[in-house]
Amino acid sequence: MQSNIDVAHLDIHSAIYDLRRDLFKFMQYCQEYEIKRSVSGNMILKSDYKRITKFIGRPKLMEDYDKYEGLWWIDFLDKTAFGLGWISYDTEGVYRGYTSQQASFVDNYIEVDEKALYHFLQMSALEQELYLYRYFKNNTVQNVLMNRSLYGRLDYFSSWGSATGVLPTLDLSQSRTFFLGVLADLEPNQWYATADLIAKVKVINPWFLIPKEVYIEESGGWRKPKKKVKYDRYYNFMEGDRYGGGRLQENHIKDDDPKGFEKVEGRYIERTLEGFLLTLGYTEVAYSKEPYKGKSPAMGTLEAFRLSPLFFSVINKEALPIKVSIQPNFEIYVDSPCYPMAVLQALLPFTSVVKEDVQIILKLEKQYVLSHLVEHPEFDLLSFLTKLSNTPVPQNLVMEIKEWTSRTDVFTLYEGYGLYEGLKRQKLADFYTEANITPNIRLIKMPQKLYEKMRLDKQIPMLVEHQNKAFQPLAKVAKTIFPQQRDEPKQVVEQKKIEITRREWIVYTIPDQAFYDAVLLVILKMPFEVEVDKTKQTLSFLKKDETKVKNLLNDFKTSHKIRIKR
Amino acid sequence: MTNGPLIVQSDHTMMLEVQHPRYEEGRDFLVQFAELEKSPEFIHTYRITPLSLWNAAALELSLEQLLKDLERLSRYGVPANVRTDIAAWYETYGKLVLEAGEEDSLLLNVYDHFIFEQLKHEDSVQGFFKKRTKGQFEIAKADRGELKHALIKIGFPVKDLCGYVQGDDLSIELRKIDAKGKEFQLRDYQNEAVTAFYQVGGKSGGNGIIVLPCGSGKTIIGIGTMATISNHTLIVTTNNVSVHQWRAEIVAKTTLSYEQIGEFTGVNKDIKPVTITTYQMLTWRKSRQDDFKNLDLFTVHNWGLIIYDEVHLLPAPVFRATVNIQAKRRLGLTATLVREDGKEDDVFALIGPKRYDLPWKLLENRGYIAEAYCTEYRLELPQEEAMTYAYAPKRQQFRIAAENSLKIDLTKELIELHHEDQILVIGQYISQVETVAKDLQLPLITGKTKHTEREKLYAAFRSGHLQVLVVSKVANFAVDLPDATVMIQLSGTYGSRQEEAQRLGRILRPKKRRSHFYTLVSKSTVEQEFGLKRQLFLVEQGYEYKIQYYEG
Repeated sequence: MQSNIDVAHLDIHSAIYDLRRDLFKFMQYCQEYEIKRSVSGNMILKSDYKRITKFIGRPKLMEDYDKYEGLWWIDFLDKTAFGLGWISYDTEGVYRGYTSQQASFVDNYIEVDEKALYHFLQMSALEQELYLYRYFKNNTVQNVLMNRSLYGRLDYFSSWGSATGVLPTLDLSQSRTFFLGVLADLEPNQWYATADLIAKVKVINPWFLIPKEVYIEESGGWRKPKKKVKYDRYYNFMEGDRYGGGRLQENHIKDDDPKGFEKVEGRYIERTLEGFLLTLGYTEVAYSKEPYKGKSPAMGTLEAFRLSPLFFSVINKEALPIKVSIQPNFEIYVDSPCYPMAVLQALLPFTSVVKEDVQIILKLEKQYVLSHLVEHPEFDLLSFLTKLSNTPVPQNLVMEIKEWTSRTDVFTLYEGYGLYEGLKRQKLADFYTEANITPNIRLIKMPQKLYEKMRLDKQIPMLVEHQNKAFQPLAKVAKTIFPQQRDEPKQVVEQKKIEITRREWIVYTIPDQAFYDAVLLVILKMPFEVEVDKTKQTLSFLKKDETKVKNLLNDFKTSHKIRIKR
Repeated sequence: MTNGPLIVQSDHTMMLEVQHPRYEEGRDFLVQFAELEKSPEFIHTYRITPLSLWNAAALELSLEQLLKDLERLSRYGVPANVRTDIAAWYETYGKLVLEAGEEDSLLLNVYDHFIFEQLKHEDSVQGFFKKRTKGQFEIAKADRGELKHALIKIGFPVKDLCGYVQGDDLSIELRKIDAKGKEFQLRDYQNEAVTAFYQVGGKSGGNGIIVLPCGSGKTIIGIGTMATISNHTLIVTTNNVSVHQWRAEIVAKTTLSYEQIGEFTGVNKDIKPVTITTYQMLTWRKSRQDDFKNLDLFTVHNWGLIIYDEVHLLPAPVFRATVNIQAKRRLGLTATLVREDGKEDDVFALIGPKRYDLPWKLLENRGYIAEAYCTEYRLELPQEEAMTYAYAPKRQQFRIAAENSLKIDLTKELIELHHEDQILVIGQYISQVETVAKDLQLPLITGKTKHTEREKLYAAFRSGHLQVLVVSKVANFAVDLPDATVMIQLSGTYGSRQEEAQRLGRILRPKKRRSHFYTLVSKSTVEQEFGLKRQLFLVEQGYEYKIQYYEG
């Protein structure tokens, strides 16, 4: 088969959403919240749709709610989780009243099978992927010949009469297994022509979908024995022209049609490529951009496809390496060929998600770590990270984590306890004492009660309650071994307003007496402030007037060489 | 899935694995068309933007090869949206080409029918178009910069091939032996940068930015460019000290004399064949209502080259003035293209595209900048100070923690540990640096130290007669501060990243010994919390960062 064909003129289509990721999130939601299904139709309720789309990070899906009377993607996750046995709910319902046409589902809550889910999450990445792959491969409830697949664009054969004839006798799971084997001989990331693939399958095994000869056991009639009757191989398959959404003039495809294989098996191959393989991200498909004008169902419009490396890893059962890098800036990079559910399940309790893309970036959060440690005091975060990470945990992070975790040991807050500080022999406190810290300090339970008792005993006790906001210092007069705030709060004194005017003066010292006198004669006539000290031979004026003074000096330049030194 | 070192994300970021055997190949490839966002120890993040791709297109990097190599180096392939965006952004550059027209006019050639149609109806540029023919707009010569600026604001970079006016000639030659008697020549990458900028005097060169890390000799590249063009040159830099430094370097490294170089600053306003000024000086005005008169400096003289030092700091009024001098050669020098105000596109349109860039790690490996090791020492507050800290109002706590008296003991030990190094001890608070200087009997420089005294101490430090110098925060921006191999940071301005970068820069000049940067913080205090911000900054810059405890 020719590989790497040009697809620039085609419309390339790949899975919009990552099934593994969204399934993982959907299950997290199911674990966290109670989901009640609708009484009529057994659907997820609109309010839950909203919350789920937000939770899994796809809020825009809600825009489709009214259009499709539900959300195809969430329904698909729901069905998949149900099919995998991770959730359960009543699917039969009850018929209420004589006129009810449909079953009602009263108080039908989704229940999570924690054991099944836990079992799945404990698997290696490859085992998880194989588990999903096998589930979809063997799930032939909706065969692609008569149904549109999740992301599929192609229409399908009419299912009229499909309950009889050849179709019920087909082993679709086996056909898929064969077909996947053919795909396994191709190369990853290479675009191939679908027509070439169909031709290849035709050469290898033209009977992979429908046996060469089909005999179906039929009842011979009243009191007559059953007999095997030879059927046309393409008995269930019709094609025809399509008019305005309906089908007219459909004709059976003949067994001796020279293009019979392309018309039936070929269509099957096209639809399998855009079926579960596309849903799992194993294929990308490319459609013709031209409007289809041939007979329905469409044929030959899915012109090309390519297979992802993940498909080959699964088919060949190659380990799926998950790389975890812990960076010194507290970020954890998780790099995996598929969504690393198990790793995330383990990391999410003490990290926040920075970015979920090809590579997932998490950030170690001190607060989450502390909360996790309160619930799991035995948990050794550092060992866990060291084991998980492909790179050594950076030294600064090791130190920070050690500090965080040691701090949780030191500071343990007990509600309903307090410190008693007072007389060594305080009989009233004995009953409440849990531990003696020093002769004068004890750890006591129910401090409020002890306080009341001491008050009734006229001992004038003082109760210091530590609010969540802040710890309060003791009153200044209280006797305590702890140091107290020394500084008195400053009194606010009304301040008198003083305004100071700042003026910058320039002082010119002119040592040449004659020149000094000559300048004086002129400058004193000028309309600005000048101060003169004849003993020091200086002229002082405001800085703003310096330019005027300089201009004045310029007049002397014809007879003098003047330089102003700083 | 391949075994590539790169992961391309759908949000246009790219993650490069540092420990991968093909890391260097990936790094050298990415630097051509993406911006390095952060570089912590194991995975470096790059980002592709329209601007980074226009820069690549200006360097005439082949798009086909770029996409091919990207796919080859990517572990999981390139997301379809990223491929599409790369092609679209890249191809935008070169579709609008500005060329010389007749007399006072220029011609904007549009090589894309849709863009041409769009421009015909785009209000913001209509005022520039004097005449329109098929695929071409005629504009006035004077509108060259304004038009480029307006077009980039609506997403269209212009390839400017109008050429330059000849500046006044000035013979500038590089010395082979510098003023200090040392052999001098441009390093290979400095030469490459000059060549990439000048492009043999062609119309496609002569404007643009050179991006190189601190300590790699950007000033020398500026001087090399001056010598290549040999025209009257205007240099705009960040502060007066830098003005003096430029002048001293030019005199030391070229045949120009001190008198041929003028300083246009608050003190001197000399305009000479080579004139150096500051951004502050150019944007000075009497009041908010007045004009920026000093901006006339760009046009009062026939400059053949204008150098913008630290171009990422270029203020808005200078941008406006630069609009009118598009016929002059313009060189921008910087360590980062990222601007705090996000005006990277203005720099692209008015100064020019990036012409040269090198990863700092490469320069570090080749010994052109020093390898630096960062260590944060955490010290307990002594009991009494801890109590004072506990009872102090929140805003006083930082200072109490910063002035932890144990820091003096640790400083002493670190000085003993680095007895063969030149050490700078720097602190935020005068009282603290005074105490340290007094207790350890070390010379101190603060804002109050007289210039002569300061020069004397610097000279002694430079010559090695003085091994340790204590300095206050005035040293953050003192460009004349000598280089050291060890910096002990007693305290800083909360979590200031800029300050951290400035201080670290003091020990980055190449030398035979490894550089060490010690930060001392009080354990379990607000100072440690602020220290975390500095820590993150340094690790994201790619420095190794260690935490140690000091028990006293």
